[in-house]
Amino acid sequence: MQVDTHALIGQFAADFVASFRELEKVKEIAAPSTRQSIAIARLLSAKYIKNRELLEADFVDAAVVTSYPRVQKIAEEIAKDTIRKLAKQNTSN
Amino acid sequence: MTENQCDSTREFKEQFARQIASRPSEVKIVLDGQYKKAYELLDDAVSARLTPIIVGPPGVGKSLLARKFAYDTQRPFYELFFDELMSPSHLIGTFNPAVLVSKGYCMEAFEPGPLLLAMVGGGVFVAQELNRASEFCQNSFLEPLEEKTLYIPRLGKIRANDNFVFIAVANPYEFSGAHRISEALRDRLHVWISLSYPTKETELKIIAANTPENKLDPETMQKIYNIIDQSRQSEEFSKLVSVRTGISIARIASRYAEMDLLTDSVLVDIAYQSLLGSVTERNARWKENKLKGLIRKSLTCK
Repeated sequence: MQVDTHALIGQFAADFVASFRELEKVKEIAAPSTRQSIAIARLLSAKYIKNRELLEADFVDAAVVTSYPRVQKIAEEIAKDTIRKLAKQNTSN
Repeated sequence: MTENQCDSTREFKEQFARQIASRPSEVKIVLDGQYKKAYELLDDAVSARLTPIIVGPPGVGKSLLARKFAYDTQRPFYELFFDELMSPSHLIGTFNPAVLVSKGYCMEAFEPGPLLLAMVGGGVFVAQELNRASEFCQNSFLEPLEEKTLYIPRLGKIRANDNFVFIAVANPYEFSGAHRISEALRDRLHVWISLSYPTKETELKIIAANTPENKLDPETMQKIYNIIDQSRQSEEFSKLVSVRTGISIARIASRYAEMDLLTDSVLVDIAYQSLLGSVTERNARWKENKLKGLIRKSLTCK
């Protein structure tokens, strides 16, 4: 699968934060800010530079560790869903 | 000053000079399991110029991880433990009143605090117990974390050295004495690294690594682990049975083993003394009966 990794990182960070932000429970506890999107993108880029590859688990981990601990379980679900959707889009393209 | 006083002052000065730590000592840590993952994440966060916060109950190795990172990356290490009484001047520094009177507001009169030293010298600054810091102190971190600058009254604004690293360390919010981290600060803490009590294999390795003259056979090590594990699961304990408790028991037990005096009954006594501080119950008789009963029961666990 030919994927522009940098574009995928940016897309994932933006999509994840947008979906995460919509949840009432997350809004109540710690609504994600643009800083979180930037943090996800930077963390994934650092990992990509180090390993020269990114696995689906890396995307999920980045979303989870940049989320406040009390909402990390929800973050994991949203991140898995986000990366699944992006992978599907990339395959169909 | 009498001759005796002079001698003791001289002796103290000589001993003091010998004891000054010019180089940081090597950090021994078992980089296994959750610690390996946490260390890699810490490294990734710093490479990505993100601010990490290590969260976990007392005694799981949060500070050790930060210290190890500073040692490995050859950065000077600074830390400050927060409480209600800590003020921003403890972080940034203060003017020495005596020098201030004679020379005025100048660099010579300024005594820098650990945060400023780390920012100027490119060191690692560890904010220990961050969720015990007052809002006043928490606000002092906003500028250094966001802009990588710091304003020092009367002297001006400095920009942080490129090697400057800020690591926050905190207990989980449910621990007593912990406060809320303000929303503004929380948003600037980018990577949340969680540590919990290690797995059995990792904890046994940690205990062995911290008991230098380890004279304990695997069976005794297993018993010590069982005592710690059972205590953590018991409701009568506050959640403070840390890895340190296991190390304490192993170290004392090792001394007894060296003298061939270690029996189950001795091990029960050692564990009892080491665990006393972690029990919430204050009744002495209860402690004696219930705690020793729990320890004895742990010895028979597989």
